[in-house]
Amino acid sequence: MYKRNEWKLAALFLVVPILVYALIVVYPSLRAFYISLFRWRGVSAYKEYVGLWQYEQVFGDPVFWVALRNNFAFMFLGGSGTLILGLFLAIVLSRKVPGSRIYRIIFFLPYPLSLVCIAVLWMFMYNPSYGAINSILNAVGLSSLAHVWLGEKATALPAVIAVMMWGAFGFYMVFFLGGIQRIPQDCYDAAKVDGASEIQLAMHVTLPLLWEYVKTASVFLAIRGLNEFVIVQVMTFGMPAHATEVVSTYLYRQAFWNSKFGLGTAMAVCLFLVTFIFIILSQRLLRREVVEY
Amino acid sequence: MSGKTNSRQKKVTRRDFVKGAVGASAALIAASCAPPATPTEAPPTKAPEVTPGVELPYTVSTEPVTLKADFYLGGYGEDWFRAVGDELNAVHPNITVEWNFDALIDEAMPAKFVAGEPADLIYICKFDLPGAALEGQLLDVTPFLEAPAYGQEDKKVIDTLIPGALDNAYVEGKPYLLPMHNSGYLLWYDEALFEEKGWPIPTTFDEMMDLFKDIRTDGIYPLVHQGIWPFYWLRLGMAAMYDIAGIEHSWDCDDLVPGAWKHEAVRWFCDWTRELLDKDYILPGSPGLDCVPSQMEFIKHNAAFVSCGDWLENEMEGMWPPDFRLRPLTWPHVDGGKGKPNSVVAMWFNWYALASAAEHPNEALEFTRIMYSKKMDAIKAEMNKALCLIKGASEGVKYSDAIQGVADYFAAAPELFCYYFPWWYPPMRKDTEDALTNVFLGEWGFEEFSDAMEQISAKYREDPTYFHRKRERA
Repeated sequence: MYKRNEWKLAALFLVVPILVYALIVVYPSLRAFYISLFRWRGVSAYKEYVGLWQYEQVFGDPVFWVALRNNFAFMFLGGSGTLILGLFLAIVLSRKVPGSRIYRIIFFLPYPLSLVCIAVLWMFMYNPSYGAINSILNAVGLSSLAHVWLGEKATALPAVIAVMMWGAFGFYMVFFLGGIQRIPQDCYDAAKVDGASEIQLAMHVTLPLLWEYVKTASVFLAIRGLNEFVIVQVMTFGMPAHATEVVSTYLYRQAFWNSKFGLGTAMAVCLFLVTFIFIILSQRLLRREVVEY
Repeated sequence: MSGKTNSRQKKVTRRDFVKGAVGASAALIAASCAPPATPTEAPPTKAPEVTPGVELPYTVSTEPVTLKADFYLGGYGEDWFRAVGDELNAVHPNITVEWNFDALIDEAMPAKFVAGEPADLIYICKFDLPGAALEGQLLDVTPFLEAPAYGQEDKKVIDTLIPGALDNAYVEGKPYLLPMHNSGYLLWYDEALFEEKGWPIPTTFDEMMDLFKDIRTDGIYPLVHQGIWPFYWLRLGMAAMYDIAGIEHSWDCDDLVPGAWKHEAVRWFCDWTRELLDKDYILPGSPGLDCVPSQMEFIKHNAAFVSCGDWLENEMEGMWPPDFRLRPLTWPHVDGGKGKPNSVVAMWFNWYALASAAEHPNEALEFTRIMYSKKMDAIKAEMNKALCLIKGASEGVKYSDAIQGVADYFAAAPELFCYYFPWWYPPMRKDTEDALTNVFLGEWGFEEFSDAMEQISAKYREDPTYFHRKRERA
């Protein structure tokens, strides 16, 4: 009797979230796939069924692959850079260095800013004529390193990825700091008795005990990299010549500028599948025994 | 410490998966939800001149009507449109306009059309209005064109528009798309700077290149361009290609004629761009600059010329130094070119249209009749520093020196021309921009650019979903 009531209670609590989930996640996803089977301008209800033809267009479009490659650059370079920087700063600031509280605030400061603000701010920083970066390089006699950061194919993508990292690392620093503070001091004391250096403490005590945090952060950053949109849209529109194009900006342009909503949706479905597969893979690759303490 | 597997792993994965699944859609939705622009107070217009007894081809309601307007908020602002609304309200006190000005209006259009709830009045920048016309979403504006012109009731509206204004209006034989602006696209310079430096105004291409050399010697870059929007460079290219090849080449490009982009004029333009890069005549950083920052470089005299439409003065309002004397310059003629010297790139854009599903089509037509009147066009000319779309509307209008210069060029031009393909096939504009970017980055020469453009041209030529227009040739 008790168990049956428990089941009913669980069902009662679950039915609403499941319905909401179905309504706002499952249905739009299935609907997106359905729309991707049609050639649709998006200016009327008229759609022409074309089967998987849109997907042929997507796979045969070199720009889509460039955009996807750039997403992977955001994910691997931007994601790993953010993660390493956040982790490094968290470890350093957890060691009670002088002024660590102030540094925590300073490093966290960019995170609450909206992505649009961050993008606009860095557009000024990168401005080739009056931007701070070139001005500093010129002032210290490194004019040869000055670039048209957002206008050159070679520098545009790294420049935009750096902005993503700048906006995100503060959050991950705080995230990791929270995890480090949960590690018992006994673990460090025991390692120190065994003669561990600071680097060994970080590598063999902090990192293993922080692994679940690292794994979660990796997944968040991977999703962020695959879904990057705002910074690129504001700073470069995917320019120059698709050098900074990502799938989200490309599908947005296909849908809203080129009136190819079917094609844009097919790209969104592809991006969804890539994200889905990557999350599954990353969970398997990062799986390891968790040390509990 | 004991080791065991954490059972919470899968929950995290599912949540992340959900975020990934909806991420791209969320980006789309977020980007398309820009708030409307803050309205500003429109200046008052004179009392309306209602002509009694004028018979219109449509019946305007005497019941209270609120017209909905979705208008692009661009370089020309919103004040003049509000003035048109005031004029309409003065003539028909029962009609008011509910304005929605938005720089991202194009992104909001699809949802409204698909839902069957478009605004009565639509003015866009990039949205695929030709496509909307093909799918029956726009109102045939023949009654407006056939109506007596507001304030000139002895003439039909169609007879009051300047030549060329309706060049792009027709889709499958019916007029749907009206030009909102009459714009000239030229080179611009500061007359005060030229006087100070003793630089002559070039009248030929060779003189211009000699001048560029002198300007560079003086430590200033001859040109800056709005590289984030490569179409600005293409418009300069239009002028150059027309000058080399004559008007027929622009028609071939518009008609997607195979081989049009293999023309020598295209080679000339690509080579000239390369020469400018090699000689360091273009302000470094131009490929990464948006409109306003690039035009600021021009205002700051870091570059002697910028190529832009005649909205430049209005767009940079409040940023001009008091001693800056902005002046236009047409493309200097290349010796031996087939184009007529002193011709001007003229553009009758962006598009304005009425929705076929409009709640109040007749009142929308009446708003349109008042907007395209000599009186309102004259007000626009002064208010927006813009050229007129209605014949004779500029008489008595006190233009700024800069716009008067454009008007003078228009009046004297042996030919007004434009390449229409970016408006006939809206996605082709972005494709062209991508190809052109490689040229002004110095990575592509003529062969690569022309091959790419031929492929792009073929793509749209063979796509049956577009309405394939043809230029009228003698």
